[in-house]
Amino acid sequence: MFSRRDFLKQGLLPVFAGSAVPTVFANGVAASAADSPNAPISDRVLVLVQLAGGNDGLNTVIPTQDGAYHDARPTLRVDAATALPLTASLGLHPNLKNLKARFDAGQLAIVQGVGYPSPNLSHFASMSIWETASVQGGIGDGWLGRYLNYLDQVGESPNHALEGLSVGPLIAPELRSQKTATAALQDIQSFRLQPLPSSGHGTPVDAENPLMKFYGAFHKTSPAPYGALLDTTLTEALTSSKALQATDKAYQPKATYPDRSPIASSLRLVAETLVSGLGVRVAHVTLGGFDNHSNEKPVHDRLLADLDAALGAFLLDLEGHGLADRVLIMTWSEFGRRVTENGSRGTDHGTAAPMFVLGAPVKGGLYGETPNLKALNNGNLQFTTDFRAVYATVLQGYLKAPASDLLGGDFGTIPLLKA
Amino acid sequence: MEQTGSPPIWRRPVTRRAVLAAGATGAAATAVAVLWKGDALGQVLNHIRDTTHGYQGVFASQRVRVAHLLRRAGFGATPAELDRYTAMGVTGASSALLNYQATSNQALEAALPSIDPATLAGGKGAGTIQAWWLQRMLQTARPLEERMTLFWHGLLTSGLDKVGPAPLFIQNQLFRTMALANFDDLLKAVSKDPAMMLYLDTETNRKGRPNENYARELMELFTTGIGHYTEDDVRESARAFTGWTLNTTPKDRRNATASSFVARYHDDGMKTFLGKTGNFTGDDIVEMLVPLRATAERLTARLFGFFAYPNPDPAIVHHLADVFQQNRYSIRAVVSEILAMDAFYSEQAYRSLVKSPAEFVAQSLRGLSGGAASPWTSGGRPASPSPSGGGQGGGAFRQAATAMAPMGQVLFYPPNVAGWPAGSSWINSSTLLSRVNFATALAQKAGSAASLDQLLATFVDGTVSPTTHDTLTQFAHDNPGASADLLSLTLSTPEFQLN
Repeated sequence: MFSRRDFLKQGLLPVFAGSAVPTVFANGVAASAADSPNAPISDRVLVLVQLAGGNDGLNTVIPTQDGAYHDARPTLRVDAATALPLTASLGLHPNLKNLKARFDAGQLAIVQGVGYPSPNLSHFASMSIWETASVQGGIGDGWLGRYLNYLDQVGESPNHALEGLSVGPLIAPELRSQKTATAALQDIQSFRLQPLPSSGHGTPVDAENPLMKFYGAFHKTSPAPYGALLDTTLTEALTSSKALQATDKAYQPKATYPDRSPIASSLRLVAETLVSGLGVRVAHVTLGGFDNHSNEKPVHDRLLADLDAALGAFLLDLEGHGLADRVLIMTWSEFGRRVTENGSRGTDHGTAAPMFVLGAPVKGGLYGETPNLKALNNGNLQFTTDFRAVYATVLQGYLKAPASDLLGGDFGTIPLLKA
Repeated sequence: MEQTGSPPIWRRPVTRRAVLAAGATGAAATAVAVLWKGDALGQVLNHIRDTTHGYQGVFASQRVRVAHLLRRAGFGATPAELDRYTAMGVTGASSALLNYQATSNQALEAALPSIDPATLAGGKGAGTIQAWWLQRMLQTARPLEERMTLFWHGLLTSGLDKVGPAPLFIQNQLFRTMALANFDDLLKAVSKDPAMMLYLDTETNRKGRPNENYARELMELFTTGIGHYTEDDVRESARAFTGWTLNTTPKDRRNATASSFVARYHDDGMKTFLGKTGNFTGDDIVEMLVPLRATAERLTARLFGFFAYPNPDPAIVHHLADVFQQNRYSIRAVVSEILAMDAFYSEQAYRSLVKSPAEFVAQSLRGLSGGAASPWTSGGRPASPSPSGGGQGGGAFRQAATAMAPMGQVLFYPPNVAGWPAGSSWINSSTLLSRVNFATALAQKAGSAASLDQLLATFVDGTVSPTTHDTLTQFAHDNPGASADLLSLTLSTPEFQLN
């Protein structure tokens, strides 16, 4: 069986031979150059934004006229007068100005009350449920890892090391796959192999690079479980760093990303890979810090402001490069927070919360039912939309992949995409 | 042990006859047929040797056993340390590591900068304590003490995202002082530790306004694991942990270094926890959780996975859980047992773990002859001045600690309350490139005069795949005088990424 590792290794050969853009990347580059208003399915990109720690949904999309909200949040409630009105009874957090503008422009879908049956209040168990799209959770392939496997099976994989891209030091579990290797990237400048000190040997990647030999041989021995992983990873690293370095200089952002904002840097990096046509199909970025059991307000206010500014710049940048039609953005968090604030001016772990689906392919508006604050279960909201229905919408409607197969069931879809 | 007399197969010279014999059988024949097309005979020979390579008999060498022990129960060894511990024999070496109170750490303490927690609040405090801890890992005479401190930091997590450097510095010393203590005693101390109180919000957990954060993670992550308690148990035990407060002003909370009990903050009503009802305190909750079998199995499996190999056979966990329960929850008893098990010195254990970035950096630096004498940390290039003032090369320790970040680990800054995920998650394209680039930068700074054989003996037990060995030998031959490159390449081998 021809493995992905073998494929990438073959892709390396033209690099060794000195061509600027190896053939394996040529398709990706051509695709980005031939950007079109109706993006072919093979060019569509999904960007996941994880709000890690459990985002306070009630203080993100605010039931401004609900007395129960008012009473449950004596110190944390967002004043109805400052919320950015979506409807007569709902408003966005005042720091979500760009998102409000996108909502008004019909590019933001807000799915309300998203959760799943028998909610798990553990961060890690619940994250795992969302990441695997299985209410058992566990360590199996991520739901997007399964999507990448599917692309491979049907011969639609771009076979590029950056096909599944996690921004940060670790591979996002959604992208985890036993069969398809994905890349983690923190910044492009440091993502290159330094030459050896005394001989100057080792131009970034070359056929005689001893590393290629070590790792290629090591994986054939299997006294430990990591040989194949190490070999694949080294090959991925050298392939993608070579490709990135070749295109790095070409990218000029068409928007001003905020300084000193990790989420903005992450999205800028995603934009760069997209502009450079590096074959990214699914990208994952994380904004952490939402687990606000105490003194929530200043932290949550700042996080939402960071999120909003970063997404605003990202969308402008995509538009400036003519890529907006190709990119769908989706936010998720492992759970919302408890309805009633605790004694620490914070909130404990909760359940259902809204999700944002954002971008030119979206038919903006409010979807799903607003959760009822008077029908709580143990102090927690009851979900009104299963998160797997949102996943199914993205898989089936946007990525044109068989959602029921990939999610292990039929969860319906939500009409939040443009026809 | 099998394999005593003749050298293991991957060290024997491979004859053409052996190749043909191997090539004539089963799958190997197919592999050869594929490889033969257009490939040189040399590659075929390598393929045969690589696929027959294994670690059988590797522990026949006492030196390898001791090196393995020092990698697992410490942060690797300088060649001189390895000589010294090998001379003690495996049992003597284990015993010396375990009974570290008998070993003076005076040289380390004298070399360390003196840190006043009151001065850590500024922007440089985080870098100061990170450099301080890495220096401890590199120069300690009590490797297991430092290793267990890292274990507790990864399990009973607190992090700079929510907690100032001063309380984390205090917590780190608590972990060191209680490194091999009884688990119930440790958990009781941790429950009142300022860094933990800040990280999991017990500091604001008050009578009538409980905060569930600590109670939940105490059960989910620190003791039984999920599935052994209900949401009601979380709520009730949160009430039991009320009453502890930080000795500080609200404005200075993040830098608190002490805590105390205030009776009026404590909810002294009846609580029902795990089916029992009483006026429980936090200590009572700990005393109810630690004896549970689920706690014993979960903790001992994690310890075994930290020292030996992941996913042990249930029989091993069962045995270790018994040891834990029969010795009043003594961590020392469990660790001592693990280091004495055959499984610890089995082929299954050898290179079965991925080095964490802390291990990768510390073992690289220690192996250089490390710690105190390392060119990276003292001689060689002048170390940049250290704001913490202390000893030699504080700036260099700081630099090395910072270099771990792109490899995926920042000391005192775990990614979340579950700590760092171990094993394969350390390895991805980004982190692997960072490791290789660290090796190159280190080789450039430190230089090297070591021969290839010395490097391999120091860093990888002299045991690498034939292709790795041949490639390095060829490289050394083609690049005379490029010893620093050999050092970089040795630290970049797949073998050295494993532990």
